Amino acid sequence: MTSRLLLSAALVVAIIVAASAGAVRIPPASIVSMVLARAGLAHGPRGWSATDETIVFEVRLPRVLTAALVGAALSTAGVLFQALLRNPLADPYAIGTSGGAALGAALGMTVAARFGNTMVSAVPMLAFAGAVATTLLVYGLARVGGRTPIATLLLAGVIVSVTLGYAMSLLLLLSDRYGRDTRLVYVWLLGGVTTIQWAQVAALGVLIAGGCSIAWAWGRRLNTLSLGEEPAASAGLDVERLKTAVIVVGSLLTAAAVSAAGLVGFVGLIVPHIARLLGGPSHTRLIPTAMLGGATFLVLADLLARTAAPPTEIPLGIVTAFAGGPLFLYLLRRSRHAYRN
Amino acid sequence: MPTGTERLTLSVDHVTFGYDQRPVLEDVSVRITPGERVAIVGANGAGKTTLLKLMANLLQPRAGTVRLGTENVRTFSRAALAAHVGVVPQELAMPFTLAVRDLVECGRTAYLSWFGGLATADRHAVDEALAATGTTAFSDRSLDELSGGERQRVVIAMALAQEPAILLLDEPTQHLDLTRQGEVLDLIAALSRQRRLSIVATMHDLNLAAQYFDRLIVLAGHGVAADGPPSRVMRAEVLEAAYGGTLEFVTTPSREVPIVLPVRRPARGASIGIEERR
Repeated sequence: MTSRLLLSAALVVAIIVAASAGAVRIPPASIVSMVLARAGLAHGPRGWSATDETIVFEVRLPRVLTAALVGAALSTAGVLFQALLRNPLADPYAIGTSGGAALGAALGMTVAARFGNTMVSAVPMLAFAGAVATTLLVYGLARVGGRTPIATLLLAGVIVSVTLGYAMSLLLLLSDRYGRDTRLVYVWLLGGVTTIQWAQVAALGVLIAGGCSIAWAWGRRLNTLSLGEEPAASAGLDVERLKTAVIVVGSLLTAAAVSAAGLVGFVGLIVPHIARLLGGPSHTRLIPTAMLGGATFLVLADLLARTAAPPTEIPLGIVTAFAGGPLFLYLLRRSRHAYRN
Repeated sequence: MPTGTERLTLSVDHVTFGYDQRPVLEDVSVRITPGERVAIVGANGAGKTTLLKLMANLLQPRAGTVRLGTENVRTFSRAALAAHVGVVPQELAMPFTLAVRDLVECGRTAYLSWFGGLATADRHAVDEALAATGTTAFSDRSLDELSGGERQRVVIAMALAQEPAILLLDEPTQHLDLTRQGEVLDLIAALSRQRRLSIVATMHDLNLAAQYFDRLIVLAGHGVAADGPPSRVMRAEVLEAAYGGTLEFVTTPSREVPIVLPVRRPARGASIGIEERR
């Protein structure tokens, strides 16, 4: 409980710091006052300019909150896939779900570019379809006799991801013929939260909060699933139904994150790992811890991406890969013995 | 909400089962009445675990039916069956090792609402299962900090938290030392008496099975080779055929049933060679 209170406080502090930092520095105290004034909770004198207010409300806060939502979504998706595959290395990026969502989203963008903006809603829907299809494919390929051994899982994930990567390149080459600026898609693929409209933040918020809440409500069932399929079934779990639901919700969360921020890898691996160290492996505690931790982690990673080398923005996916790659290798090395079979 | 208060008979009627083309059980029929303590014994590969899994509806028979009361177990939902039948698996391998209490709470899966929280009745059942198995003291510890005997009691607690009428155990004494084997079997027998629980356990060790169970089912040749109280089963004509070899029966004044041992053959090759070299 205390770790979750501390994480909530850390998230609020991270959001305020991230909203204050940038080319125009705005004191954190002003940010708090601005938000309180907007919410009608404070009526003091205004110590900030109208420009500052525009920067905070129209540029920074939507971006920072999107980063928080994407972090929570990817971390929760990581926990779900790890429970489904009974493997701590199953991250939505590593098992190809993100790649499938990205291909779907890129297809949507191409269609939108070809047929105009009436097709913009195709992007998240195709991202979701791509995510579900890839997860089912990798899961089917990796399963051997009711288990998901690490070797087949990683191999299936890598092969499917690489194939999807080339499919993506082909798509970009073809879409170039329609005069679409492919550089934009490349930058999006490297991962990053761009400034988006409040309406989009709200839609993303509803989707991600819904998915995370369902996952949290399933905490005990996910514990039961971790015992293995036969013990879980004899304890009274409808295993097939839960597995289907986990694939749908995990893919939905991944697709929402990819639609908003492109390919941001390793979040679903790093955050659940640290959350388990903080609050133990029981999903009733792990899911809220991973949600809060993931939101905080991605707000800070985005802050770093934005401010480390101004005026250049480092793509967010590069920041998380530099943090997550080494941890992934460390976990793989450490789990050699436990996942030998 | 499923309820497991009824005490029902579990019947296996003319069940046939095989993996691919290899038959394991053919036309097997057994009935387990409320409160009975039954051990399934037999040589390796005789189908002990297969019969247990058929009883738990974890495997589906090719022919025949498994019934709980008068209903085919296949018509039960997982949750409804879990409220009648608890299973203690041979091995519980978890990717992330849960704490004891979290694991025992998994026994309440069948009773969870859609929102997945535990009600007062659930917490009560978990506390009670921990107390009945003597595991309350380490309910906050992680399962991999426990000894083999303690782990086995925790897994029994999880099955008990389901509040079943029938407890199926797959090799409950495997990997345990002699004293711990006795403790676990004493615990199972005591639970059976207190709650009129039916017990079915697969057992490797014939002598332990004869000592702790009222009825032995011997599997051999894809079917039931013998079924009855230990005094009728622990005989040369029954066991030598089932296990395929000569056995030695030792009678002791303190036991009604003889102890069965493999016959030690006079060592040929190796030891004669050693003596010749001397």
